[in-house]
Amino acid sequence: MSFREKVQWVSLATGMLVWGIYFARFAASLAAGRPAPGDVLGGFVGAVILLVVLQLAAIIAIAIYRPSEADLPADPREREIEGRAAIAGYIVLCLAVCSVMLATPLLTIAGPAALGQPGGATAAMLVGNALLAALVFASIVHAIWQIVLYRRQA
Amino acid sequence: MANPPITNQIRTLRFLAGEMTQAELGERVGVTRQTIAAIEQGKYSPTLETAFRIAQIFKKPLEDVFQWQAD
Repeated sequence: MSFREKVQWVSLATGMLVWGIYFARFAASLAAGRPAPGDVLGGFVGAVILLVVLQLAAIIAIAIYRPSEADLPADPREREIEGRAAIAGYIVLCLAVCSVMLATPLLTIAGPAALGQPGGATAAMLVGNALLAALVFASIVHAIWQIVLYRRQA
Repeated sequence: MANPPITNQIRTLRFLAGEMTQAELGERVGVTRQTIAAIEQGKYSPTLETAFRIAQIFKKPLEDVFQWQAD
């Protein structure tokens, strides 16, 4: 397994773990009927910091294990895989953002009303987190597609 | 994914070059060992530049290393 494929596995695993915890906590706060904007923002900042720390630590560990591979620039096959996965990720991101846009009435009116909090803050949290979920989903597809392409040629 | 219609003699040429490893060839060409393995197995068609570099290392013309299997 090449250095860049290992990095994609790390990116996928840490992304799914950290964002899984973040969205599970957000969903729990919605279910409990007390989604506080400060908690959500704090959770988001914490998730980003945790993600960066975990990914840096894992990538440094991989690079220490095989320093010769880590120093090499991406070769043409790796650049091609990255490019194809980026296209797949971009298409998913476009579709997901359009879906969020179409779901705006649900997120801004029906959702807050169902939660018993028809205020603007809850609507903003729902829309913001839906957009974040779209971004996370696209990045997961990007990582998975790279891994699939690497595995097909392994 | 169907394999590209390009075959190659890299495995044989590595053997004739003193059992050169995929890693050694990759290092000299400037690609990863995994890329050499993918080319060797016919799972990936190299760029023209990579193909020429491989042929140059074995001191062979390109067509002695890579063959196009037309339908």
